[in-house]
Amino acid sequence: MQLTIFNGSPRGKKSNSSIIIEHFIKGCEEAGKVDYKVHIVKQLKKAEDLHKIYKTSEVVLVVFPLYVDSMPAMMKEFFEWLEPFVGKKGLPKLGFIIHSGFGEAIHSFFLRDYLDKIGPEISSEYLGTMIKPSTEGMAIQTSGMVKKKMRTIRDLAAAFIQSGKFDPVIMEKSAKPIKYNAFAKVIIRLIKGLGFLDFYWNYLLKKNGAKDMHDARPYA
Amino acid sequence: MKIVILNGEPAKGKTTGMNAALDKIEKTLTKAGHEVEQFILRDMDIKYCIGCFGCWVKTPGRCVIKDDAYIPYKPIMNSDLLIYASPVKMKFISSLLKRMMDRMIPLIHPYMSIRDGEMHHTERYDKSPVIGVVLGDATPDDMEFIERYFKRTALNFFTRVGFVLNVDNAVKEVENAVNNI
Ligand SMILES: Cc1cc2nc3c(=O)[nH]c(=O)nc-3n(C[C@H](O)[C@H](O)[C@H](O)COP(=O)(O)O)c2cc1C
Repeated sequence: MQLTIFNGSPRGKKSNSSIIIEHFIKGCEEAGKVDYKVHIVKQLKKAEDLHKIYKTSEVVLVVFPLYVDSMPAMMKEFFEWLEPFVGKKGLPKLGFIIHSGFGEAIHSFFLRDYLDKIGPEISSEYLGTMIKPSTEGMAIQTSGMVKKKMRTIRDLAAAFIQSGKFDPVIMEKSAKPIKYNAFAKVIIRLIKGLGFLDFYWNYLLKKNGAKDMHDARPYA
Repeated sequence: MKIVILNGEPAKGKTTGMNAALDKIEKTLTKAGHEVEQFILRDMDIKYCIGCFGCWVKTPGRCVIKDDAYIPYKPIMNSDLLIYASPVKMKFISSLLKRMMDRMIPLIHPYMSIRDGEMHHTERYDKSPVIGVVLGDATPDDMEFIERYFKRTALNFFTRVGFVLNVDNAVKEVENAVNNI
């Protein structure tokens, strides 16, 4: 199978999207043979650059993060660039993996519903959209933690190589929790009370010597 | 009332009627005694957010990219109503308007807390303007779908959606809509 992957992170190659793509490829390779090429959306300079790749692709996977409750602006431009393909014949199969900073899948539901609308219009077969919550900070997590988090990505890829489909059961498993349950919320409040919930931000603020200014209001 | 309009129509001139409508809206609302400021995003140098989080962890509250995106920040934070305006393109707001929206995370704080049963970031400022939306080239389905988006994102900006108008009726309806928020 010929697989074209787009990394739609505004961070480009050094991104959580890259880690997801790595695991997707690993999952594919564990299950069979795959020829793939990864393109960085940020490096596409004009619509024609995208058209050229898209037109000649067999299967397209696009991986990108949630930005302000939907797609990053450059991914919106990506879809605008694909407008000439709407309803055309001979298009590739198309699937998405979207991921978010927050740990609840509900944040990504609007974006998934958007992709469910637009996907079938710009593909010969819309494979679906997988949601992966809580991807921020993978760069400072242990490889064991990342491997565990990326499990459903590898599973999706392996099943895809075998069936040519995105498995709805794996997608559902990945998009969990939809919201935190009452117990989780108690724990989160406790962690917040102890000052650990914002560990990641405090770690970065301290590293940059900016902790004292964390709540600056320069545009009041 | 202080009102900021973010004009996210990427094309100059009359293409969707958006530019003319927004100019009329600005006049109508000014005449009614409001203080209105319109930012024409296509004429500004607004780069894509690159996800560096510098605005949260390096220079808190300020974006590290040096361009025009900061210009509307102060007017926005001092306004009562923020109107997002865009033609519908590929079933959503323009990438131009979204580019500005991605650049608005310096206005909130990275710390997290549970609100309405979900995790969200916390406030950086004491108040946030109510959201108004004006859409061009929009089907009823687009209107409803994009309203759902703004309701969702309002949660992250500590506010609510006051109105969503189709540009075809916006000039006629905006004054009433503003009075009702
Ligand atoms: C401008 C901006 C807006 C974001 N908006 C959201 C959001 O609305 N909800 C969310 O859960 N995460 C949000 N995130 C977090 C990203 O989705 C998260 O950091 C992701 O892991 C980034 O992936 P990447 O490294 O592949 O770009 C936002 C990040 C940035 C920089």
